[in-house]
Amino acid sequence: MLSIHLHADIIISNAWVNETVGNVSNTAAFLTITNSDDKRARLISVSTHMARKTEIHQMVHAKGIMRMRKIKQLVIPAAGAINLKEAGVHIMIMGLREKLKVGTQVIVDLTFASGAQIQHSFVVRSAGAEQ
Amino acid sequence: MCKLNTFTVFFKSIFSVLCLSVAGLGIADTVISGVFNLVDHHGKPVSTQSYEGRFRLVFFGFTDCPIVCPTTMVDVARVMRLLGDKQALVQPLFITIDPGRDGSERLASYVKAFHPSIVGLSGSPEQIKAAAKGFGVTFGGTSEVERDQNIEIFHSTYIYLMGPDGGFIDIFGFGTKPEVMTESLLKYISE
Repeated sequence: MLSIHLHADIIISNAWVNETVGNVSNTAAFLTITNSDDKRARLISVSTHMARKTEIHQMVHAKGIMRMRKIKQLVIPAAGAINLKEAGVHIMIMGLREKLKVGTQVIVDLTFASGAQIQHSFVVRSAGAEQ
Repeated sequence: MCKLNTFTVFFKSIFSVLCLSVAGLGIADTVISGVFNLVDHHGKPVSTQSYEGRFRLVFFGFTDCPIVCPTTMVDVARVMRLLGDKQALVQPLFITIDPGRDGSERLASYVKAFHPSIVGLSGSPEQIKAAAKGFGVTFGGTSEVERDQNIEIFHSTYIYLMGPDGGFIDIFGFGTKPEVMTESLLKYISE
């Protein structure tokens, strides 16, 4: 995986984005963030030059209703990890400037409250892929 | 899952309320009439009667929905493939809850990406609200304007199985395996 800036404390893995369907220009991305520091890390911003807007969304599914809201930050515990898919969190990518085809890649910039910036390549997967 | 196969349509309606309450599905006291008057992705006005004689798998969503809708569409497409030669007896319907954005053309390209038999339905906001009411579906914050204002987005995630007469038969929760839905469908088809 491509990591332009190396931040020993933060490791990005298992990063993928769903392909776009039909004429839809929105999609969702997932990743696992591992924090080896003894302090918690906070992901505060996500962006990609390929889309108009990118946000962090939290989902809660209960009694047959899915609820989704934008969150300002995602906390990764000290010496811990967070798998966004399992945590019900996704990176919502809106207003993509081109369609995302399976097997291609999307470069995403992740900014943490510490000032750390990580650029990472997300693989485009089929919407029906086992996740 | 509520098994109602031995009852008539009338009793199914009554029992649907009980079953949904018992199952804790959050839509207690809802009678699922399944009535709708909408427009399909070809621009043709359609209603509950338009699919007479076919079982229907009905799902409410919107094309910009990032997780639930594509996952459900993939599952429904898988059900259709698993049905094999019985798939002509089943009509999957995707009803948008974002009619301002999901017009015929957008819906057509969306549903076809998953399975050629899926029909996308839209309509006026009033028609969509009426259809949602007919299925006990709840939703909010799903329009583009609301989403831009960061209003909480919420929507029902059930797949409704309706009979050849349009009456309610069964309900599948989000994440029900396509194999399980197919098995259930084949059982109802063979009755």
